[in-house]
Amino acid sequence: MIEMYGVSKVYPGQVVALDDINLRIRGGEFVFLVGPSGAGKSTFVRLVYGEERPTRGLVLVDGRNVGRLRPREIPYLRRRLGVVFQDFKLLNDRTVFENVAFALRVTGASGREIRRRVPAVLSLVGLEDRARARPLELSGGEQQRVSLARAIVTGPSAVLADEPTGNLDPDTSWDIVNLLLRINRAGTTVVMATHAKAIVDRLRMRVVAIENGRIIRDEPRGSYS
Amino acid sequence: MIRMWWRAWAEALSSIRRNALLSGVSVSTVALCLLVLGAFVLAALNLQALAGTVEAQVEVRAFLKDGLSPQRTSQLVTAVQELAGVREVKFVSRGEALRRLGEQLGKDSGVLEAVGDSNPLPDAIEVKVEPRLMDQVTEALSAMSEVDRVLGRRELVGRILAVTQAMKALGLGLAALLAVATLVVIANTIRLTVFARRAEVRIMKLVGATDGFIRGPFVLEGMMLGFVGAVVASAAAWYGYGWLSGLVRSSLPFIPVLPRDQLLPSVALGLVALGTVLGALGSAISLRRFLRV
Repeated sequence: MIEMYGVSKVYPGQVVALDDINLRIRGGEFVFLVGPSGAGKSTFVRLVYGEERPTRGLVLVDGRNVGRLRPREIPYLRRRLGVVFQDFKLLNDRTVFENVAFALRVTGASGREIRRRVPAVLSLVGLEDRARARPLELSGGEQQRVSLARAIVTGPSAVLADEPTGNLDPDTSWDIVNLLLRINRAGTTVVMATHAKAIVDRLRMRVVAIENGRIIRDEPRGSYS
Repeated sequence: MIRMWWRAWAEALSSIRRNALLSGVSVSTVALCLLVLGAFVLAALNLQALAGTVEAQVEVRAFLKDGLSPQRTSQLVTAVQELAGVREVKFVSRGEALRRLGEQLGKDSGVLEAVGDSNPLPDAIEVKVEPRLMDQVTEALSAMSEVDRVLGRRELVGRILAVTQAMKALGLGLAALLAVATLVVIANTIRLTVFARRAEVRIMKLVGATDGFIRGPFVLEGMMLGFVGAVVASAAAWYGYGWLSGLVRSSLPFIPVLPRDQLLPSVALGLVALGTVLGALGSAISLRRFLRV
């Protein structure tokens, strides 16, 4: 599903974010990407959804070379991936419903399809009652659930979550992680970059540890450190 | 495809509503810029018309020797008409000249009675000339044996010519300059609306919107703002021109003013077209930077 071979990313000014990464994530896997801030986790995520191109090496998503995609092909890559960020990235001047519907409209979905799928996803994340609320009327955990709903409403084959619990308290964080687990059990690949040690240690899923841009550990049932 | 179009319109409209304040600012800016441009164009057109009228009135007067036969006079008129730079020739008999003098004197025309039947004025021809060729015409007239004396206000014509030509060149240059300034201001104003929504553009990109999909509503929005601004400017120009031309006609009646109904529709059409195009262009240009995510 997601593969990297000899991938390096050097930002202008000789800042090495990733250094010779080799990794295969199969369809349906749940992977924690752990490591201190600035280790390269966000760069990893950006390379997968095509916001950055690798300086060296090969990034494959569903067998397609992301680094070689033409700019106008990138939107279609992103429609097969759902992305969740630490800061939610919601549009505060639109309702919860509209925020989720946004991702569908972009694909040219019909009004009927939107009215069918958005409520379904909202009830999956437990926000069916808040469809008409605006993001700033919601708690942080609820906002993150909206952004999660937006990420999965198009039925992506993988969800990339970059520090999705970074702004949330422990209880709320577990809500989000449990949702990600549910999404994963339905067959969606999930990659979650995090430094929430408690969560990683408790779940015992595959853990890829990155430090200074290199993979220092890759264990099938790993812990945070 | 049709659904996409409909969506773009709906998005553009709802975005204008959401950003009501900024949209209002953009519309006012566009309207103001176009109004200034329009006012200038109207003024320039009027000045040009005025210059044209003044140039058309430049004339040379040739006084004829006494005792020419009517036949020779009419031959002379035909000959003068053939000269390069002559627009119109009119024969003014001495009787006619006396009558005109009486009119000019008005109340004081009594002095003419002292003259009695002996009219001291000569026959003359009035020649309307192309201002540039005035000297040539004057020389040619002086050389004719039937002509006694040629009268033409040469320096005055030279000055008028200089002024009208400067007016034309200056008007054209200023109009072009103003058009460019308008474009810059409008593009920047619309950049402001795009900038206010850069988060939205970024999120659209993240969820896989194509550039065309993102651009559509923005460009439509820019077009609508430009269109509305231009309509406002045109309306203001319509009423403003009506008011101002009325004022000029009543207090400075000797200045010819181009009629509104003949002038304004084409100027307004130009402004609306310009506003719409500039709005679309401004949006598209401003968006380019934010699409590179």
